[in-house]
Amino acid sequence: MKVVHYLNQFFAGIGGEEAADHPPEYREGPLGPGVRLDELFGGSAQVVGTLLAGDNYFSMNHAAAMEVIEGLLRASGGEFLIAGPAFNAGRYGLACGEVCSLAVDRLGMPAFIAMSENNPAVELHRAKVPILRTSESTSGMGQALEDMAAGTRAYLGSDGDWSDASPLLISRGIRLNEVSPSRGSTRAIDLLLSKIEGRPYSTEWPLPEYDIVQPSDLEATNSQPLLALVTEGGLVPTGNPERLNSGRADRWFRYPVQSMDRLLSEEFDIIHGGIDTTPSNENPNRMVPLDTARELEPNGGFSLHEHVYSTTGNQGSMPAMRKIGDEIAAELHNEGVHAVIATST
Amino acid sequence: MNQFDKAGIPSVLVTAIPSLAESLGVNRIVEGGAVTHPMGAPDVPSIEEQAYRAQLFELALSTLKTSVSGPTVFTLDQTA
Repeated sequence: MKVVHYLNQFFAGIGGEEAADHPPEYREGPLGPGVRLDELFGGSAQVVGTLLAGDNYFSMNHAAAMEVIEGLLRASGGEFLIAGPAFNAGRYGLACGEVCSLAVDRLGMPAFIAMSENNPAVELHRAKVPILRTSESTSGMGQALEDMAAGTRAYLGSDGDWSDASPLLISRGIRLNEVSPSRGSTRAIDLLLSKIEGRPYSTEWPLPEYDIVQPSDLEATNSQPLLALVTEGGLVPTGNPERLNSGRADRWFRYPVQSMDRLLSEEFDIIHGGIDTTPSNENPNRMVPLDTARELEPNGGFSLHEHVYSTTGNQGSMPAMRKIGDEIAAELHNEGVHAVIATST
Repeated sequence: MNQFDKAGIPSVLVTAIPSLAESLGVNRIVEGGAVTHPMGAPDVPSIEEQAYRAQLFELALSTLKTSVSGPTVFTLDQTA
């Protein structure tokens, strides 16, 4: 079985963050962790080539990257695509997911991704692409590669079925309907009675878990912090030229406000699909308080950053929102921003 | 919001649904005007609205310098 292995710029040995813009390319034979993976296959499969791309390139040029990747994958002669292990790397995990989805959708090629259960990309892709569970950190590389080889062998050995590999896989989250002998209302009461009477009980539907994060504090010595305004209210230039989604957004934008002392309703719209946007459309400063920021800036003990940042939080999926948060945070960090005032609907 | 904290950038969220923000683990929360205008007060004259927005902004700024140990909601009537 001819395997193509997808890696990011780091694992392919191109470089770290500074190489994150590396465009997609295909190289013959295994690279980086692919070398060990190839060994572990022991002849049942062979890594014929490595597809690689920089994590930022993928995020910033998604459509173009997909076209190139499709071409490279077709030309490779590969029959099976394995992506990762991406561990907890969000952008890498997302790229793996996109590439594998493409292989499945456009080439009918079997594919799987290896990454940590907590990778933000898991939610987005697990229904379509099998995901093999790895540790969160790269210290689990050895185990990950062994599992990837074992998973591949199980799949090939059962003629293209993932069930034998399923202990290694993250739950697909695919809902199957089944008829329960008792009604929902009965089961709910039973559950409540079990809780009250101290009997063991379990939820039928686990709720998503949210992060507990240590707050960062503004350094007391910083007398003039650089402050950025961020919103999930869907602030866009009038007409929404980039077509920011009014719901289920997976993108964010930044707008230069250096020359402005307020947001003008003629220049900006609010497109959040979960609210009545009238009051904030009349006066966008009600959503993003640029006018106040400018008013207070001279004596307020802060400087305002030149961009405001906007996305739409309406029905945002947790992984997408985490990714957006990560990306904005990375930019703010690079821009030397010290603090954020954010608004939400 | 938590991604900003994780990146070492203190941040505060102004929202009209502080309990939701609390349950999501947002550390610094300021109770805002309304869902449709977290920093606004369209029902009062413009001068009063500007003053309100300034008070909210100042409150938000002050929370960034305040130590918190977990999700904490700040409201305008708490300030001196």
